[in-house]
Order: sequence, then C-alpha cells, then structure tokens
Amino acid sequence: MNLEEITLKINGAVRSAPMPSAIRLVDALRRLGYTGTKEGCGEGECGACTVLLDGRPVNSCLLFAKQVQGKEIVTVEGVGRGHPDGMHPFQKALVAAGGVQCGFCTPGVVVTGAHLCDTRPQASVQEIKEALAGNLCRCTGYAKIVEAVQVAVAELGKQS
Amino acid sequence: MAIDIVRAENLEHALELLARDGAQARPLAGGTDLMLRLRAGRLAARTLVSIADLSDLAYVREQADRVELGALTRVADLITHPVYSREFPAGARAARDFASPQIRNRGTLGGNVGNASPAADNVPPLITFGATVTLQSKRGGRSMPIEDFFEGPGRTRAAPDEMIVGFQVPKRPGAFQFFAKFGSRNANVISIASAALCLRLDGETVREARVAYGCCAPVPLRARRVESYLSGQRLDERLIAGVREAVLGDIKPIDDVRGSRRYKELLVINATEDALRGALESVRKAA
Repeated sequence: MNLEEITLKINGAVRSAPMPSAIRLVDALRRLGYTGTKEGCGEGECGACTVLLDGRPVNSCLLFAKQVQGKEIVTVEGVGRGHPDGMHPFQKALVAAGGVQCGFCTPGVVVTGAHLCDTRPQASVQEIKEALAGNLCRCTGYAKIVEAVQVAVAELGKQS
Repeated sequence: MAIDIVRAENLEHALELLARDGAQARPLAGGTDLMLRLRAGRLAARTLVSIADLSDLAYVREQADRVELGALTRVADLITHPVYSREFPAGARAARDFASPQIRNRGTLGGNVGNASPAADNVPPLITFGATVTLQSKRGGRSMPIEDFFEGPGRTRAAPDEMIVGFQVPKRPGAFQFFAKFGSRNANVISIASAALCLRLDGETVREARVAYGCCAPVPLRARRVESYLSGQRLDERLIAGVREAVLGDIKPIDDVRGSRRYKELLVINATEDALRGALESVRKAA
C-alpha cells in the first residue's frame, strides 16, 4: 500500500509519519503514540474516540486524518494542559465522583466534559445531558458524570 | 482497495477533480457517513475529493425573501444560527435532533442531503419550506426543488461530476412549522420515522400546506395528497380526524430493523394530527 506523509498538530505538538491516504484519525493518533484515545464502536455511536478538532468535540473514528492536517487536535492527553497537576478540574471531579469504572468511555467523556465546562459553564443539567449525549457509558451510568461536570464548573468559577 | 483522498484547494479545483475522475470520484465533506460506507465496502469511489476546507461554502446568508445555506454549513451551526432558528424553527429543531453533538460538529447539511438517506432528518423540513438545491459542475450550475433531487436510497440526480454547493430556502413568515422525529432514544439515533409540516394559515383556514415525511418511502417524501387534503380547508377536528386516510395514501414505509410498516404509519399519522392540533391551538391563542 502506498504511504504518504501525514502531519498532525496534536496537543500543540507537530507530529508526522508515513501512513495510508485514507487512515482514520483514531488510528493515526494511536500509531503516533496517543493511545489515550480509544476506538469503541467505530461507527460514531459511542464517543469513546472523541477529540477536539479546532475546539469542537468530534468522533476521531469518523475522521480521515488527512482531512484534518494543520488543524488543532486535542486528545485526552492534552485536556489537562495548563492546569495544576496537569489535570483539568473535570478530570479531578470525575475521580472524586467515582465517574470511572471500566474506563473505556472515559477518554471521550473527559474530552467532551472538559470542553463543556470550559465553553458553557452555565449549562443546566438538561444541557449537560444533551452535551454528553454522544458519549455512552455502560458501567457507572451518567449520574456521577453529570455530577462531576457540575463540581468542575463550580471549581473553575472559583479559579477565575 | 486503496482509496485516495485528494484535498481540493478551491471549488474550481474540486470540480476539476470530479470531472476528471467521473464515477470513480466522490466529494468528501465531513465524512461522518462516507467513512462508514467505505468501511462497510459500500463505496464505489476510488478517489475522495475533500471539500471540507472550502470555507466559501459554509454560510447562512439572509436575503429579503429567502435564506441561502452553503453546502458545507455544519449541522451544529444551523441550530445556533440566529437567522436559521428564527426563520425556520422546524429546521433548527431537526438539526438539533440530528445524530450526536460530535457528528453535528463535523457533518454538513450538503452531506446529509447528498447521502440521500430516506431518514435524513434535515430534509423533510427543507421540503416543506420549498427549498431548492444548487448543483455545480465544470459544465455549469443548475437548481431543482429538493424533493426532486432524490432517486432512491443513496441515489440522487446529481451527475458524477456535479456537487451540491448550496440551498435556497424561501422564508415562510408567519407560517406554522412543525418537525418531529421518532427513534429509540432522543439522541444519536437514525429515525424510525419523521414528519414535517409548514402551514400558511388565514384565521382557521389552511391557505397553503406543505408536508413531508422521512423513512416512509425510498426517498424523503413530499406528501402531496396530505397537502391537497388540507389546502383551502377549515382547520377543525373533522379535518384532523380525516387526515389519516390522506397520509396512508402518500406513504409506503417498509418493515425494517428500526420498525414495522404499521408502526411507522401510526407514528406519522399521530405526528400529523399533533401538528394540526398544535396549529389550531396557536391560531386560537393568537385570536
């Protein structure tokens, strides 16, 4: 198979490797060592592979890496950048609330939830649920995840 | 079989690539649906022409009598756009009910239309607004009513060298608009059925009715029998009680994994009756 050089901007760093033209972003990320991003369903249903693309949550299993060259990609590894201990307040709140069990959905939940805390701190419980509607969790359920968003938003409010 | 992705520099470049490769090439926008087709081995194309970065085709522009939508407008941006949500609340509702936040952030209106799914949520409202789709190729441009664009599941009247560049949506000031989608949960499901209505009312008289259904035919369906049944009539319980026969005359849903024919019939009959009752209520409230 013909490989071509694909260059991605991941968590602020430029990373590059020869890859197939139609490689998915989730596969490219994992090849480049960003294995925090998980493939769950591979169909855009579960959200485990969620990353930020130019500041918006998207499914990396539905993206061609080649289409997003030069764009800002943030993976779960980059969510805590600039925060004390390298952890976003939502990550800490998720731990405290017990919002993690098997952990497979967690990278996607962290990316979506932290983005929500950062962009819509006034979100109601209903709006939090709608924002997380593309992230499925089969272990703890959603109560603790929603609670963690609320705790993190309060914490971010105190910091600012 | 290896697929090549070629990034178009601009619209002319994209049209050049489509003209060169013909049926071997397909435009690639957000890719949220094409990716699945590719992986399922249901994509004949060898070259995907990436148009996702043609920012000239991502817009919502207000004109005096219409709103122009660029093909690459992301579904998420339709929900929040002040003009679209003000002029077309039923369209914004469909955009909000569409897929998941992640897919709405990437998927485009042109892609949802171009995939030609009978379940495409954004299409029935556009049919009821009288929207036209604009196609462009190296040979020139043309437009057609959006309900005429579809030939069957996944099949459209676009030639291999043509791509959707935008939509013209006539404003419907004062019209009663309705959209409802039915699925197994509220988020991220393919519709079992959907219904859209746009009614121009004069007091309690229906001056003009435009009605469309999703998942009720091989294509998103404009329900002309329902439209003529309603048009010019007084909107009352008798009219509402009789609409089911007109609905059944228009739709031909099939039994599939998402629901039985009978269930889909009931869903869209109920939705149509709900819409008409809602319209009646809104008129009486205004009076």
